Amino acid sequence: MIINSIQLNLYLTLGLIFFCLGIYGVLTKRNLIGVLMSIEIIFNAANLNLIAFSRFIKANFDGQLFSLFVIAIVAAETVVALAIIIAVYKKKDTLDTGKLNLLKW
Amino acid sequence: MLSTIELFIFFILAGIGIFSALVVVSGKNMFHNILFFGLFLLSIGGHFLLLKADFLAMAQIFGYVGGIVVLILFVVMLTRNITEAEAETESTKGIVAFFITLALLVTIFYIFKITTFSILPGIVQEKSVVAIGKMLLSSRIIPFEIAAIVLLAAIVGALSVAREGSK
Repeated sequence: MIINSIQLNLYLTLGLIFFCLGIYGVLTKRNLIGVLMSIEIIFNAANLNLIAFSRFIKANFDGQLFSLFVIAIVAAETVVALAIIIAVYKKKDTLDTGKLNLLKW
Repeated sequence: MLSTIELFIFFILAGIGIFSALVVVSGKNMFHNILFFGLFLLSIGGHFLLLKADFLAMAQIFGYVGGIVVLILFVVMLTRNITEAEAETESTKGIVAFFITLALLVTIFYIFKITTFSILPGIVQEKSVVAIGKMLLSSRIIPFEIAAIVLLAAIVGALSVAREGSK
C-alpha cells in the first residue's frame, strides 16, 4: 500500500515534469513544428498519468482505454496540423510563429 | 511489488525521457529535435510496459514512433530552411516562460502533495490485451466506432487542406 503510493507519486511527478517541459516548449518555440512536438509531449504526460492511475487507483482498464483513444485523437490532430503547416508554408514561405499573422487584423 | 530492479529501470527511463524532452524543447537543430522526440516516445512506451500496459506500449510504438515521427520528419524535409526560424528566441520571453513554467510546476506539485489518493492495496491485473479487446467490442463499442470516423475525417480533411494551396 505504502509502496504503491510511492510509485504512484513517482509517476505523477514524472508526468508533471514532462507536462511543464511541454508548456515551456509551447511558450518559447519559434517554429510551428516545434510547437506541435511540445504539444505531443504534453499529451504523453497526460497518457502517463492516466495509465498510472488505472494501475494504482482502480484496477480496471478504463484508464488504458481512455489513453488509447487519446492516442487515436492525437494521431488525427497531428495529421491535420501537419497538413495546415504545409498549407501555411506554401502560402507564406515561413514557419516562424512571429511572422505568421494571417488571422490578425 | 516494487523490486529494486523495477525502480532502477524506472529511473533510467525517466532520465532518458527528461533528457530527450529537454533536447526537444530547447535544441536548435530541427532534425535532432525530431530524433530525440522519437527517443522520448520510446521511453514513454517503456514506462507503459513497466506499468503492465503492454497493449498501450505497442500502440505507442506503432502509432507514435512508427507513424507520427515519420510524418513530422517528412514535413520537415518538404519544407526548406526550416531551421532558420529556430535561431533566435528573445531572452526575455524565455525567462518569463521559464518562471511561468516553474510556478506551474510548484503549484501542481503542491496540489498532489496535499491530496490523498485512495490507493489499492495490491494489484493483480489480468492480461490487458484480452481485457481491452473485449471492452472495445462490447461495452465501449460506440466510442471505438466514433474514433474510427474521426480518423477517417482527419485523413480527408488533411488531404483537402494540404492540396488547397497547390493550384
